[in-house]
Amino acid sequence: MAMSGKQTPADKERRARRFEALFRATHARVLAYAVRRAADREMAEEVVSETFLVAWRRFDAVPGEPLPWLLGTARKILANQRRAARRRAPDGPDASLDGIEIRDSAPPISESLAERDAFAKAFAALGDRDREVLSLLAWDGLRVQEAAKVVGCSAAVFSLRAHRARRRLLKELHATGHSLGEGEKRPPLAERPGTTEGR
Amino acid sequence: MKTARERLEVGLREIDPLRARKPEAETGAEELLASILADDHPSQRGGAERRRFSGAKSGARSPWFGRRLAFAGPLAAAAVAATFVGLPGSGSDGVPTLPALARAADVAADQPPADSAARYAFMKTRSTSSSVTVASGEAWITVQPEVTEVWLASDGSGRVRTVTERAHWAGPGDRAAWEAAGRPPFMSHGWGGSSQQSDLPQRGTEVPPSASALAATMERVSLSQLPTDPNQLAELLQREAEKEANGYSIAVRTLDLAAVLLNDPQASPELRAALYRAEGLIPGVEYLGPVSDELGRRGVAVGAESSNSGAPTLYSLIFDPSTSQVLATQQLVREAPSALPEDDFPRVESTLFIESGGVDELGERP
Repeated sequence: MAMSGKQTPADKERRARRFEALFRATHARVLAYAVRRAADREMAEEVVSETFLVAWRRFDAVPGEPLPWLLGTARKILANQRRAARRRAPDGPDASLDGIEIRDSAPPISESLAERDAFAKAFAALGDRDREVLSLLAWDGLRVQEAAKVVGCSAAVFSLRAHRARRRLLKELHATGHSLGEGEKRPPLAERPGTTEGR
Repeated sequence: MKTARERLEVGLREIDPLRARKPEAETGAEELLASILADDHPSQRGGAERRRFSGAKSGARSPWFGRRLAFAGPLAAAAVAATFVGLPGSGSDGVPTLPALARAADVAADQPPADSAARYAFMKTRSTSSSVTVASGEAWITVQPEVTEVWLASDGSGRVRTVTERAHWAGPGDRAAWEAAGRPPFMSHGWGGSSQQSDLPQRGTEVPPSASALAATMERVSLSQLPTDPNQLAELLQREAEKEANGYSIAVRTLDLAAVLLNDPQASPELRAALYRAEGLIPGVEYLGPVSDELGRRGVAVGAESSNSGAPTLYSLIFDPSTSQVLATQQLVREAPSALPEDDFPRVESTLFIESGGVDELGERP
């Protein structure tokens, strides 16, 4: 454990202040990561709490760039939660990523909804690893180097995984009749009126 | 014109589960931060009392304790997803303790008296244990569930029935690893799917080796002799745990024992209340926060960390403070042994307390 009985009160105070700064800088990102992947909000909050509890106990091991370390810790805790859920319902879905909901706060645009639906289905058809790689980049907004640290591989390996995952996503989209290739007449979703990126 | 890759990124952001949601309100963030920081200030949590017991010296061995603790190890409790760290609190008798334990103690004290008229105390648990196999450069884990039912009379006689369920892979990666290793034979003890029943002799005869750990730990030779003063009980628990530690931390051992005693239908409300309060006085026992056990039952966990197995492991006792019912003991192995991929951890083993109560016949259930 990082906490040591040899710490002076001043040391403890400094440590607490540093942790507080880390917490305030990263809590929202860790919570968002957990909410996206946990079965429900309650589970997400449990994951976040344990993540920061681990960070506090092992504060000396937290690197200067803490977010990938925190998300990597949350990832393991989530894996554990899913494992426990599988024991409860062996035939149930493996992860909440399977249940992506189409949320539409923008004005109803049937074409846009259809494309989003196709995207969601194609994404859901991918394997766990492909979905994780793509979501770390697109949803959590991580750079390749950061995302690689979350899953515990080199940046080069992660880039390769991302490349392959995109290729498989394209293949799934093509299988449903959707193409995002160059020269496509239809503009991408974010360029259409009434849609937002929501981030 | 965007490239196909850029369009993919846009499309992926469109299906972000958080898209179009209002920013997640960080409810509880400040409370979480405050509680984590409070965890490092023992003086705010009855630290003086806790330190008082850390130097407790071993006394004479209670006749019943040695036998209980000798079998307590396999029930080693453990921990799981922790949430909020406990804030300072105290029980109604003024003994500083963790608030969740204090609440459970208050509820336990108000429970009806134990059913001492029943001939047998019955308890049913379901436990899971993991086995790691390493071969041909691969490593995999199998999980073995086991259901145990115990009927125990005041004279020590009774019955133990154990159903060993079929073992299963911990996950798809484990089966893949086994196949990559060339599908070597393992599980020399079989894959389970069997049951065993044995009768327990009256007290005075050693419990046979085949008897379950649960039977031994719940043997209530002298429940009535246990002190109901939390301070005295905490000292007693620690003294005995120290003698039978076998590499476990004292705090972990006391959790094991408390779990079984709290589930014993013959334990009086006063004893159960004292057990909850006493656990809050054991150095190293911390509040871990709200959790769900493997049956999905909501509770809170207290626990302690130990590296007795060579890997950092968090042991916990999960209970429902609103009913004072013990739900489970669990152990969370936090880091993978070098042979296993990091992705496979943490791992959890557990003992779920399914049912307990007084019955009059062997084989009868409450």
